[in-house]
Amino acid sequence: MSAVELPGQATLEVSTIDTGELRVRTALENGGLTVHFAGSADSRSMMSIDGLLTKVHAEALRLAVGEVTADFRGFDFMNSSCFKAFVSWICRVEELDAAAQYKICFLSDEAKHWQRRSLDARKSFAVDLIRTET
Amino acid sequence: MRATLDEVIAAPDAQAHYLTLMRRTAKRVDGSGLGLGRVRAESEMQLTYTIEGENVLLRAEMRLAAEEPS
Repeated sequence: MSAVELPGQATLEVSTIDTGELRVRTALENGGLTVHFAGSADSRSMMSIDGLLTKVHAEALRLAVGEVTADFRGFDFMNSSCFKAFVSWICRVEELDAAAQYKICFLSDEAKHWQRRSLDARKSFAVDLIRTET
Repeated sequence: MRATLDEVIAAPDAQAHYLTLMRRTAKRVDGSGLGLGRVRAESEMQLTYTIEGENVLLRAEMRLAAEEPS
């Protein structure tokens, strides 16, 4: 993890994953926090993703962002262990007082059919917190 | 094992059961507990299984529309 200082803006503690198969980077973009996912994630990536989402959650609270964007457009697939890491993240946001909660936006690629099915399920899980964009 | 499989397979509403699994397993630390529920809910496949000794054979099936001849 390293820190990036943006002129006139907040400092983001940046987390990245790069295993070759899976690449994840975080960035402050458009006034919010964005996490870009690329490649595919299997059970070997679960701990990394869970740890990264824990850091993202802490940074979102520290920076008091209104929304965190998870950019899945380059995400080819993830297995259920990694999917559960996202469920756990959403639960952590749900457990916050309403004033401290932030929204989660999933950017998806319509051509990747698994994303539509998975994101529909996730949106049903926490209707008030989650929105999806293509 | 049998109880877990039966629960996933017999749930009348696969989507609703999948959401229940998400709630139940959110704080679980070993494994996801979601895999089969996810297969059934997201792929709309029918699951069946047989257990023979220490072997479990799980079958996931779906019916696809035949492609119309061009």
